Amino acid sequence: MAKKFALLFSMVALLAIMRSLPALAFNISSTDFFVRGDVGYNAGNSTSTDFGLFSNGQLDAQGISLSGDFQIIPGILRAIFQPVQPIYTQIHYHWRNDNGSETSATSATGGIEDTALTGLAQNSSTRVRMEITNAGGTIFSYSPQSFQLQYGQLSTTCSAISSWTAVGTGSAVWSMYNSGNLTDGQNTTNIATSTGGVADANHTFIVSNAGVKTTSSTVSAISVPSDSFIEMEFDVQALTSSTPGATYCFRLTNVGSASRFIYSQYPQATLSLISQSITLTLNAPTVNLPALAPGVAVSATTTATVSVTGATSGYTVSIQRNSATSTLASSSITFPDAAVWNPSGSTCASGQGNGTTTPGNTFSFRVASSGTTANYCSFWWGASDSGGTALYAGVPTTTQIIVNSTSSASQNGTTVVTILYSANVPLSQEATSYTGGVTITAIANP
Amino acid sequence: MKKLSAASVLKVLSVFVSALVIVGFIANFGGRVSVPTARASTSTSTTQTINVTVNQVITLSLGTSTLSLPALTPGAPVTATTTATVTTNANAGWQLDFNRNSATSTIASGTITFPDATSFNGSNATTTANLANSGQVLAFRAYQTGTSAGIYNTATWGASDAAPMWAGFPTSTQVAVSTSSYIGTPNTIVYGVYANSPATQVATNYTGTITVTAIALP
Repeated sequence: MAKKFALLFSMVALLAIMRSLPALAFNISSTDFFVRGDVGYNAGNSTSTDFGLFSNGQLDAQGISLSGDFQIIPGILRAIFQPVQPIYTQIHYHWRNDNGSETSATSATGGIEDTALTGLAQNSSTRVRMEITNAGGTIFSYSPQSFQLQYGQLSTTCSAISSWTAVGTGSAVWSMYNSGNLTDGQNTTNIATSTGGVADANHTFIVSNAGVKTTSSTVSAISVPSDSFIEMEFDVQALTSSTPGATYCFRLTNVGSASRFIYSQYPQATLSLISQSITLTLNAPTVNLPALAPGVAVSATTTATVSVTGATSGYTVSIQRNSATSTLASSSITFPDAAVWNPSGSTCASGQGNGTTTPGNTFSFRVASSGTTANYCSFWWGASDSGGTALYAGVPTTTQIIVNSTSSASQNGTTVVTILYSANVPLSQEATSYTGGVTITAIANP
Repeated sequence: MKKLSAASVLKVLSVFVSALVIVGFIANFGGRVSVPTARASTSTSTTQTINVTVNQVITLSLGTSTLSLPALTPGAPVTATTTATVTTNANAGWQLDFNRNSATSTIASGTITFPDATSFNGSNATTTANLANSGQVLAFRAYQTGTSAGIYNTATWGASDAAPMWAGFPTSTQVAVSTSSYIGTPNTIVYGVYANSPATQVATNYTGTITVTAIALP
């Protein structure tokens, strides 16, 4: 009897090893014994006159973790059904906007993972989060993997692509983007799918992963144990040398080797047909207003030069202050802000905007007519730059449009927006130096 | 004995107000400065730092331009008070200085001088009793009552107005009242003059001027 039993398990184990995926069900009967596994719950139970439980150490053969995506079985079942080699499965991805930190950036596909990105402009940074799970084993051919991001241009299917190129190397048309929102080598966290994360495809998330990549496309070598998964996020952009309108597929390899990799999902990005770019250059990183005697307003101007190509609908310039408390401050001493700017819409129209001709003893700004070659909006900023006519507003806490330029030069060319900062304070404002930051953004209209 | 018949023994003829305006520029190029760079993107942002320095301003107004003491009978001291109001945005505080405008005596009648108490040096004010024993003199002090909270210095001018300390007007400016921090609201300082004289003091009208100076501290 014991020989029969040993032979039976040896056959099952051999079958399991030969398969690329774990065998999760078993069903066998004998006049001497009975073994049954429930496929739905992956629980084993057995009865026999010769043996009781067949899990290790006489433990119950219940699975220890159940999911629609993965199962983990313990004891002798694990030994029988676990493949011996690792199986690195590229199982989920999610395109994210490069508009925040590793945790705060938003989904570029409406919070839906495994969704292709479309309409991506050349030279526009975006982020792809990818998940690798080891659904296999760690006995043979198990070693740290240096996951490297590769791309290939789609012709028929991603799996049919024969030529893959590492992102950011040589003549690659995709490069890494060193975004200020991320730090190369920082760890990814297991964020929710709604904000750009991916579903957990295995039992254990590898926390220490150095999976955020902005300067190189290769993650530091890391071991992915059985029953574990790793999430990596790459900040990339398609260069001008890429093909407008083309679709590119992405995959991870072990520095070019796809051995023991399975690709369930390929991230895909389709570039917009029209090559579009926009640059924003300020004339100075710092604006120093003249020394301010309370009651006597001072002002200073700065220019934002916007160069665009392929922006068929022009562009917008927006502004926001970097502190929710006040634009300017000296430690905890705040400088009063004017009522924050609200354009009441994205287009210049009569009756819109909340600018005032009398900003009073505050810090305020306006777009100046003089020196602005883009679409100056008199409804927003006044008929002229003259006192009593010019309109001022406080720098908003959230980005708000201050110029919506649709002229031909705003579609392909260079235009200038002149911004005037103005400050005044009451006599009681503490005499000291105040400083603060604003963020100016130029966006090509969709 | 001559009787002092003058109704006023002290007349402040003028007040010179000096406001020291100090402009301090502090370089602010902390880590928040981002060098604007031309960055290719359909959405591109740049941070700009804005600096502004608010200058110090200070104003001083006196409750009265002339302070007239009651008629003085030798041996019977008289006092009178007035106010100085300092308004400033100085973030390191301010000080109020006093000095007399004549090196000979604070008040006089032609060549006849009125005796001054020992000139104030910032810490030598003395009690009323000591003042009386010194020979009946002209003195001044800051008052606690009516002076804005946190400004009156008990070590200099007495624990209270019931235990006052007095000193003579100095020939050069001396700090009588000061603060070391920002006070955004107007500050009122009540100060007063004490006068007494020996029976031998010529009875006449005495007058003179003092200068009160408010300084915003750097």
